[in-house]
Amino acid sequence: MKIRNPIYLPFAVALAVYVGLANHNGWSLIQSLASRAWQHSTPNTQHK
Amino acid sequence: MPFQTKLFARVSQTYDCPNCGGAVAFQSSIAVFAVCPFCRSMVVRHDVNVEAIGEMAALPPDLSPLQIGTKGEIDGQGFTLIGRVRLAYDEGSWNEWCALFGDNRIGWVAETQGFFMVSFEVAWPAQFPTDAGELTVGRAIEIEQEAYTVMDCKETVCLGSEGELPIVAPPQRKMTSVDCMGTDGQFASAQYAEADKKLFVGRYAHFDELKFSELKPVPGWTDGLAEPKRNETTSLKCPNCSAAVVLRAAGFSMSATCGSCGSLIDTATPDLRLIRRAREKQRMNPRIPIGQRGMLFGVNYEVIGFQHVKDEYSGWLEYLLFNPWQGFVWLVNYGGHWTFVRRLIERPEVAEGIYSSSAAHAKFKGESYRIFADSKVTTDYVLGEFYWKVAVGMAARVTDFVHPPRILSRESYPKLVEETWSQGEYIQPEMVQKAFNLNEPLPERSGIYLNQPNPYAEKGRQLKWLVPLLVLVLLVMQIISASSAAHRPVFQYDFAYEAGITNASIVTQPFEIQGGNQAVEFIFNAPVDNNWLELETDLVNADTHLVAATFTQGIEYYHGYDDGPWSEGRQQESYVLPAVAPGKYYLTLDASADQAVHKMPFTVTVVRDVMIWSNFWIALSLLLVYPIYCWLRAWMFERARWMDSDYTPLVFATKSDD
Repeated sequence: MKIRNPIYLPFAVALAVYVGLANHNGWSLIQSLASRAWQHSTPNTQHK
Repeated sequence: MPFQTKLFARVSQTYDCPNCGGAVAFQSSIAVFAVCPFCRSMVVRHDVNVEAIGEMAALPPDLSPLQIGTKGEIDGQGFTLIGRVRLAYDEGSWNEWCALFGDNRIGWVAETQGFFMVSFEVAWPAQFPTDAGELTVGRAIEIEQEAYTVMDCKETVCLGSEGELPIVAPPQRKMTSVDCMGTDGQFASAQYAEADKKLFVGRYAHFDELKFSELKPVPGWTDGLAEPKRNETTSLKCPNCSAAVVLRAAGFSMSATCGSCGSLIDTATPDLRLIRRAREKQRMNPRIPIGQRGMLFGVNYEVIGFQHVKDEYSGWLEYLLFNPWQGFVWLVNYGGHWTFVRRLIERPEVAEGIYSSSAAHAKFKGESYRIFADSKVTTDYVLGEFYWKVAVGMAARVTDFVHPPRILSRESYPKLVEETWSQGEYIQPEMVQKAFNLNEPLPERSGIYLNQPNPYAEKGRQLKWLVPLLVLVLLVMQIISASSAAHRPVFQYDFAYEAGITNASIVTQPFEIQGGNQAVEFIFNAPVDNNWLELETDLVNADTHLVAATFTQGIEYYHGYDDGPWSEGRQQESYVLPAVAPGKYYLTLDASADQAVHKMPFTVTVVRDVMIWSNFWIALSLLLVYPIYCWLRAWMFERARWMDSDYTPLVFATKSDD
């Protein structure tokens, strides 16, 4: 089995994400990141 | 039980040639005919003496590596070649070598198109057709409890012979020969002469299987034998323009184009005949020049022929490659795609099916090939030489079955009364470029070819075991985490929201979270009914009075009747805080609600050390992204491949019967 086979990369990422989320609530994190991204991409019209 | 030619009491004998007095040896006790090696007289052996019946013309030189005296082996039995008959039919000629086996049996080794048929005479079966006309091509017939199919039927004539033979084989001896093929490489040949019928049964064999030794050196190919010598012996004159025609596969090629005028010449017999005068004004230049040699799959091949073939929709190029020992193979070039093709000595099993439900397929060596195309193809340009009498306009019906990267092709020629099978394998253009040392880059590939390997299908095969394994690993990790979670309630209390009361934050009693960092779940229950309640919650450390976390959770439940009952939301919601440090905490709750709500009771429950399932679902989703991508690409690849087929297993919305 070739460890360097690129086919393993996406799976390594998936498992790394799983382990990395051990001290987080993944769903809340996604919501929070999505919310921040949305705020960044939406122009602030309050100061016009 | 096959009839095997018996050894007579006589042993190897030498006679004086009745014509020149030279020694004519009969190694085999059953040989009745020999050609004097000194004067080429045809010597027939009778009971006690020999008789000369005329002079045998010299056989034309050829590139066959076999010669009288060559030794070989098949299925563990050694043999020596003792004689040869050169036979011809309308479309070509071939060598039949008479082989003397160690147990004094006589067998025959037919040498044609680079492969061999080794057979022995058997007793004529009682039920076997006595008229060759009954053995039509494609007919199934049983010989010695084995199933055979009639492959071709031809009128043959003896061109000449050498060495010793068990039959009298003068030139112009005629007979009808019917060749049959079994499903697993078996071979049978029924021969109908004037008052004589013989049946031979054996099998097909490749050069390497026969373990030949004491072979004839091949000029231009065997080390030490220079190229010019070959040209001396195989150079002939074009009957049209008298230019020299150099045969690259003399003895095997049956037709060739004149390099000077482009006329097509019959090369099956030494007296070259013109098949067709040159007509084309424009000439095609093959990417791999005629005469170029290249190493493919460990064999050194020479390009000897080139033809352009077309069907109803498109055209492609076919290069004929030759090696004196391994025979002929093809390189097929279509739209920048290359396939290496060998003629099969076995006959694949074909199961005819019904279009689009169970389409026809061919089975060969444990693999199933699906029908891809069935069309009439025509040769419209030829260059070089060929092992059959090629003709512009020559039509064949070709059925292709695919199992990428391999392809099986069945060709039938109505005029030649034969059916042949070949197997091809897709090869990368770089391989062709390197093998033939081509300086000019080969054309880029366009589209997806019928036997082009699907790169995503290959990945899919790897993923087939990898994905379930990794999902299992993930599941095991999650189950271990879930089973070790305490999931213990540490606080529960009933509260009430009242409208109009401002600055009325609710502060709860403290509760303790023991253990290490852990996820804590806050469960909120409220009897909302077509309204909502929202709770802004602070988790406050009871020792430091610092807010550890803040979150807002709404509870809403709506229902009604609109073309049927409906509902959305629910009366219980929860929120999970990850990695909460152990310690003593209390909550501050700020409630707000729908304007219509005046008073609303609610309950807060705190459960420590819970499992966060969203992490598992996120990881699972990530795990499946790549396999789904590969599957999608593989499907798109197959879709592009089968778009060109009338036998697609895929259903396209645009396909219509009109």
